[in-house]
Amino acid sequence: MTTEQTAISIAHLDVGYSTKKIISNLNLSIKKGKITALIGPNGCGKSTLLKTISRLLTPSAGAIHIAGDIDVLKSSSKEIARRLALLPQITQSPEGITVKTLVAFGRAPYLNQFGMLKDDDHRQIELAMRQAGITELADNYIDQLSGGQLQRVWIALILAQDTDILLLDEPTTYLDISHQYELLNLLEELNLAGKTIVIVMHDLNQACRYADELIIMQRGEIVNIGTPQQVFTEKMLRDVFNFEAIVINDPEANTPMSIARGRKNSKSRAA
Amino acid sequence: MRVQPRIVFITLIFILLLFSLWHIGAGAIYIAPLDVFKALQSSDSEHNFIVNNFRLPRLLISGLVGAALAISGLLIQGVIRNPLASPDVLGVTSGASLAVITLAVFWPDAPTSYIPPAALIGGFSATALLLFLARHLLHRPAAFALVGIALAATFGAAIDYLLTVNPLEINTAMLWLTGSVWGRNWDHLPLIAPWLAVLMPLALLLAYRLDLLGLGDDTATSLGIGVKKLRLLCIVVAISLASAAVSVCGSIGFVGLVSPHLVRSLLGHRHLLLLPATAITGAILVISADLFARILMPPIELPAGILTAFIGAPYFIFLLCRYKNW
Repeated sequence: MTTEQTAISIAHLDVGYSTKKIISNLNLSIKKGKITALIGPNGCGKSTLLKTISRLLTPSAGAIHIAGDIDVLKSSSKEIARRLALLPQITQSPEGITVKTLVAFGRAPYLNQFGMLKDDDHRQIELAMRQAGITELADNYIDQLSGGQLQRVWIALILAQDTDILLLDEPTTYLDISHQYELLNLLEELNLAGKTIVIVMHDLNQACRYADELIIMQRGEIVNIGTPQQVFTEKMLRDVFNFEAIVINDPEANTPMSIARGRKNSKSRAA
Repeated sequence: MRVQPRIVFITLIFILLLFSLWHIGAGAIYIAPLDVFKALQSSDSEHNFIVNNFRLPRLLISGLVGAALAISGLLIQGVIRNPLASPDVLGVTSGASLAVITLAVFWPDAPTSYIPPAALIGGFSATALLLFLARHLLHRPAAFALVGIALAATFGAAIDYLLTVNPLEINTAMLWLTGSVWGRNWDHLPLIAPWLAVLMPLALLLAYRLDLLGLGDDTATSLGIGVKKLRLLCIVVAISLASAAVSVCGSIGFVGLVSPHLVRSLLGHRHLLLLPATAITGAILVISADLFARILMPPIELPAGILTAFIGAPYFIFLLCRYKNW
């Protein structure tokens, strides 16, 4: 065995409906303290896997453990919510509340019935807003924020949850390109500060650049796991994504990146 | 528009007291505000009999019915995240009414204590039917509300049929159906007060979890909320309150729709504040509706439900027009 610790371990997982299995007999361990990206073509089950880990979907069989021996499916919801935070793909912000109020909801797993914040909760909220770089926005109303700012606020919310593990479902989908990189850089900083991060990603080159480990999925199964250098190959892109591409070294980050192959009569060739 | 919660509450309570005073004072025998106080304080006062035996219970019942309907609407709008929902729009109150009318037609001698359980059974059956028929429309608020409206119309037709074929004391039934607090006395108070006394604190206990539910099912779940259980519990509380209100004075429409909207626009999202504020607003609406129903064209007394519909129905149309996520 390696000395690396496991953050999430999944055994014999089945997820799906009676008629259609989306994931069947999946086994996986996700390393602690790393950024792990789940990639794969649409419908491969990567979001389903993330949703199952975060208890949004109930598997028909199998077990999920975090931090060694805590059973995600059998422990109390609050207990798990103190160890595992999720940023869903589509977030829903109530109208007319301030940034700080929204971030404070991240403390829910630590609060009583009435949601009264104590001193420690206020400290955690301030810290989360500072880490996400939104301290100046604290008193702004949610409705006034740009898409990039709003996504940072949601990151602050899951940071306020004070968990070791962050799960994010395509967090960059609705952001423009500069905000995508801003967000990914933020996640990298959080990872350096000790968080285990699992992201479902759509952009393969971003996945290669930011992830320590790629989990490649196809038709509900894991095809390969490894560092981008190990698993991100032209053959994999063809087999899994049905994508004809060359893989070169990203000159900026020194990680693999893909470039689509041109067609014979395409404009770029003619020029 | 955001207002200091303290100011909102002070204003609401002031309006409630104002209308309460007017409500007790108005009628065939006018009682000046000062005399109302006198009548409430001492039994020697000349108006003591009218106030304590007729007007005070009627006021209390109007207020409690309004509060129950308003809280019911707030809870329903919160858990199915549908701004167009309320117990009357979704057919819950018509279902409860149908059950009570059925009881009255087929068992005319049934004691009045059978009315609340009948209303509850009707309300819950209507909700179960709605949730079954519209189970794929939960995320489409307008379509969901439309199924509810259709159900309400069906129950309404069934009520009309029963009353036409079995012309019992049609006047009393009509009065009750359109939501009247006419002739309500102390005997009717136990039909509604205990429900509120138990369910209002329960709703307050659920308040923070309802706030979290406003962040979406996914976020609420990942913050440790048992979403399905919470939703079921809130729906049970909401329907019980609406059915209890129906068992006292028929269906008073639109209170459950309008009150939560009004209060949300002033206070925002925190259910711990919204619940009491909505309850007071609902009480004000029904008390003032009953007041104007009595004083607009004396000696005729209109049912309060007709007046709330006059305000509520146009507001519902306004919401529908403004609503974009069809």
